[in-house]
Amino acid sequence: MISTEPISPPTWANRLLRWYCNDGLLEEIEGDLYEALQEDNHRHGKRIAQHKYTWRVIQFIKPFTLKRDIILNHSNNFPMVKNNIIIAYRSLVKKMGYTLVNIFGLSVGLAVCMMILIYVDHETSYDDFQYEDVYRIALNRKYPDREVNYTVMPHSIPPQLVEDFPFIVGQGRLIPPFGNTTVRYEDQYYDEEHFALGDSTLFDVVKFDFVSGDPESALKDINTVVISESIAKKYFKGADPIGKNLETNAGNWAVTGVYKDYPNNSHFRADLIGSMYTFPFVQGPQWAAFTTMAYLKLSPGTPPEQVEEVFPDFVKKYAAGQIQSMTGQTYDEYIAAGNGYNYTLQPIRDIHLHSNLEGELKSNGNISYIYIFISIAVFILLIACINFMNLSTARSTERAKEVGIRKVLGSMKGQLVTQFLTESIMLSVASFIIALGLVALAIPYFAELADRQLTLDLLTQPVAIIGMLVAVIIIGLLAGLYPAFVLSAYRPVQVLKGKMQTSKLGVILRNGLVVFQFAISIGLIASTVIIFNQMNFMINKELGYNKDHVMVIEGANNLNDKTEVFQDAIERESTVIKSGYCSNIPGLIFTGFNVKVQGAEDEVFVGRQMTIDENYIPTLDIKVLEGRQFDPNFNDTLSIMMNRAAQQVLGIEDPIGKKLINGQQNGDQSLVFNVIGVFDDFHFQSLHRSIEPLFLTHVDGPFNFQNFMMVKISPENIQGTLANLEAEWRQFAPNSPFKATFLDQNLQEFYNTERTSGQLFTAFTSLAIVIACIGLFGLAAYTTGQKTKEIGVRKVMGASVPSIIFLLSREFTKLILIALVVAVPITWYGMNNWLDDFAYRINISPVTFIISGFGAILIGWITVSYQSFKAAVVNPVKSLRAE
Amino acid sequence: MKGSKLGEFEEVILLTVGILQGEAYGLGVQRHINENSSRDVNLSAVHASLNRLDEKGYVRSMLGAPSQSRGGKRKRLYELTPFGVKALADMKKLRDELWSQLSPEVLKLHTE
Repeated sequence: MISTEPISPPTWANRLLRWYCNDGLLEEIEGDLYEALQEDNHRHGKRIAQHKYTWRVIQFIKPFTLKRDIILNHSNNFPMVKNNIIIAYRSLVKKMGYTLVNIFGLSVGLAVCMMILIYVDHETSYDDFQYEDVYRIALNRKYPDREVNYTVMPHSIPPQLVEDFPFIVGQGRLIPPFGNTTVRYEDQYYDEEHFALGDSTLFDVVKFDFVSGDPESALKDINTVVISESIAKKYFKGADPIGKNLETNAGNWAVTGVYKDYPNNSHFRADLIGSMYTFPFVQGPQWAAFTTMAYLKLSPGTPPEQVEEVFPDFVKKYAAGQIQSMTGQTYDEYIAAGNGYNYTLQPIRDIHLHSNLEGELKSNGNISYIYIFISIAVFILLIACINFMNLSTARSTERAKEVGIRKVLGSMKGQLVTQFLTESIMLSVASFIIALGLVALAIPYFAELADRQLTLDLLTQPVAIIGMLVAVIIIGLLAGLYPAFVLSAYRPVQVLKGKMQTSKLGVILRNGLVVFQFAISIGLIASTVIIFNQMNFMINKELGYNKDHVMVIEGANNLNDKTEVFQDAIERESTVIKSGYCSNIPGLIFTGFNVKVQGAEDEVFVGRQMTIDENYIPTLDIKVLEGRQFDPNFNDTLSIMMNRAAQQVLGIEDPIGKKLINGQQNGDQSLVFNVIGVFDDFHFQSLHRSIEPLFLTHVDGPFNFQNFMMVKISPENIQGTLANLEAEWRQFAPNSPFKATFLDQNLQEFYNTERTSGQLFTAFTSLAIVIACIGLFGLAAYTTGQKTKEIGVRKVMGASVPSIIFLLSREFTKLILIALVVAVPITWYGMNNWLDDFAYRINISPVTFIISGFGAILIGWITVSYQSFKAAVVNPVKSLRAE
Repeated sequence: MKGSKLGEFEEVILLTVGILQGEAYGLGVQRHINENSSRDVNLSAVHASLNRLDEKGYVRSMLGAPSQSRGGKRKRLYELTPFGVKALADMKKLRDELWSQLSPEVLKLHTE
């Protein structure tokens, strides 16, 4: 690359130099640059040398090097530009109201666009810092009656993949936190929501910034943990965390590393990551039960499909044995019955916007919302630009005289066009500056509404600034183009004779644009109404149990053997109605559970399982349809209850007394349960999903997890009840923090994405409507202005004020009705698609459209009526005398 | 002749022109300054400054012979005028005078 051969300067840079540089200096400068070029070529190579050359040529653009005629030309043009600016300024100031309407509409529109841009940029920036060629494995588990998409999978698969296939170069696993963990350091107890377990190779695959400790070896040994910087600060308050000991129920953990807090714009989150090898089950083989999240690193450029292709044979090879021992069926029989494990790879950068599986680490975004918001931004900008065009064309008759005079005095068409465009670009630049201010003011509120950490960083980047300036000038040009050409095309003689009429084309265009604006507004109103109906539907839907005034106490396992005494103690409180223990709460993953009906063992069903005590069902008012529920007077260790959905899937008419066989990993340990009851379906998952089969077993049985306690309390004095419960808790579980939430609030978190999007949608819709109304207001002002004489004559002839208002509003009403007809089918189609995402959805009722149509007409009327009323009450003498 | 005061950067350029004794041209001056100090001046600034010094009468210039290493272009060679020499001498005199008045303690304070 580096040679002694002289190289030639880049052609276009040299041309530029010759173009601007005056002849007296050209030779010496060119010579110097040439010499420097050869020197750079020696030192840095051709490419850099040529870059430097170009840069120097640009640096040489200084007053002393410029050709005289360039300078002269420039100074000759300037007064004309200045004149245009002055005229534009005067005409804008003269019609202040019109200018304000334009600037306000356009600046709000631009501000909304910028905020949406910031939001979209933030959403698409998720995980862009991650390594290349990294994927997460997603599992699509097929059952004969349904399918479920999991983020978790069997833990033996990933390492085996790396071993078997050379193009899979690395893997890292993570066991997501299951509920909260109480961490003790010295005498302090902390309640941690995000204590995950990780593989020693996790940091090779998922990007972490270690502040101290060695990522290579940090989780190699059992009982080691790495923590985030803010955890380190919270626990150790500045002391060196390495080697310190943390205590949890699951054992002791030595801190071996500290990493920078995981960036917010990632699908990943964990505050503490313990070595997963601490738990012996991870060492054992597991090919069928879903335990860990797994990330794979492929060799550079390997298409993910190549890995997906190997899965079917791979799964058969390794999982067949375990599936056979669990189900009693051969793998082929099992698959033929409609079961399946389909593994796919998700690019790690796409997870936030494209993945919504069971057990995500955070509530993810949704790519379709991104598209929706981008289209809203475009719509709002369109509405604002249309205002601009409409008002200018409406005013055209007013400025026709000015144009006529200018033409008579010798203005060229081009000069007039330039003048009008100067005006519109000035307006758009002013709006842009105001919009920047608005964004700066509104961004904290917007961030809160969107539930994201949004900053102005994007707007300070040079690329963004240049892009926005270009966009603003284009908007100014586009918005000013039609008026500029129409106005400048007037024929002076006709105009000055007073023959000027509003052109037909202008009116049609204006009306068309108003229809378009209102179609967008109506569509947005209707969509907002539909989103809110669906949200309300989900929040208020009968869930099959009573969620009101139910508290969830987390970490009930910390009570150890004192569960019963604690329960007795709190039930003595007068405000506690009932309480029961359970293994799981809505929102967490419910463990899979396979069963066969005794007597029909060739078919295996998989449902979900939860462990409860005999008080759970009464606490939540779940309806028992057949048989009985758990009862302390019976021995219920091997009793089982199931929901209606399970009964239907199993296809048994008379379930009470039937035996269900649950296959364990080693085939000889099957458990046989006795069906004692069937309960009504209740929604233990979000309403995005249909109700899956659910089996309930008793806490005295083989799955004896009591992680949570549901407490039904009376609505009076909730604060007092909380305090009393906490006091009791301190007595029985002094070493773990008391954490209680309300069930109905937990449930609302299912719909976080929908709620934030709904809020954003409402905010943007309102702004769109406001902008459209501003435009309508301005337009109404001008058309009524033009009709002043007509109104005067009508009044003289005896027309009443209401009849004149009606006359003036009629035209707009017509336009809005046309807009309604345009908007309905498009909105109906779009929103129907959106609703299809929900397993339980509302139907779009025509009422929605009637409401939004009337809403739009009402808003339109209110906007126009001010102008019409003003025009209608004016004394006709005034309007007729003026000439 | 525009203002005859010498700026700091101009003084450096002027000195360098003196040092290079008839071999001073844009790139050469820039090279010399960059090699002898920690500052990284750019070529166009040197040219601008030489141009200005020429206008002010501190230096005079003529075109040299064309050379192959410059793509067949001639250099503009600068040399000090007596007025330029005097300006440098005045500047040095002023500095020496001021330095001689500076108490050594002040210097010590700053080097500590």
